[in-house]
Amino acid sequence: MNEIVICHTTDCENCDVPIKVVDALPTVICGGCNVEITDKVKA
Amino acid sequence: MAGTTTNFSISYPTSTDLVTNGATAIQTVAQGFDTRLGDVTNYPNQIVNVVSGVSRPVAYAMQQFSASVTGTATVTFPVTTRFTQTPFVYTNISNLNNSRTSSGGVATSVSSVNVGVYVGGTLSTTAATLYILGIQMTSAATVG
Repeated sequence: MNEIVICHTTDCENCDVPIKVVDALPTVICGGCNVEITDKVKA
Repeated sequence: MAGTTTNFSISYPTSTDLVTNGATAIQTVAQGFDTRLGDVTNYPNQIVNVVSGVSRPVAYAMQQFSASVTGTATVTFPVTTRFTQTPFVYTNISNLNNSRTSSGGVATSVSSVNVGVYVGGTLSTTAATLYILGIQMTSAATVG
């Protein structure tokens, strides 16, 4: 399932940047800070 | 020919060369550039570095990073704008997590990769640090 995910970790390179994820699995991890992303919206 | 260029040693004529030899001189210059630009037949639309006359493919973009993964997960690339096409991905498990036996990964877009960690044929229920390497070889809309 495609989703738009947003990492909210301060100082992370992906912080607050919407990222389109194709065929997303239930767990989505930010590669910039290694924190699980919970802010997900179906795209 | 009077000499060669500073960086790539491409031959060029001198101002006192005969005009009658102009076509040959231009051909020599053109051939010098053609040789330096590499083998476009075997490496179309790809960055090529020519070393000692041999074309070597050069990656268009790469990035390596790590992520702590339990079972399966989608992991975003640290820099989500670096790849312009879906890259190849290689994964490896940290040797500190050697009870996990294998891992795999496939990028599904320019911004994320789906990965899995296994113990035997079963998804691991404990976390492992995965090292993930993404490589994009060409700028075109082809695999890699």
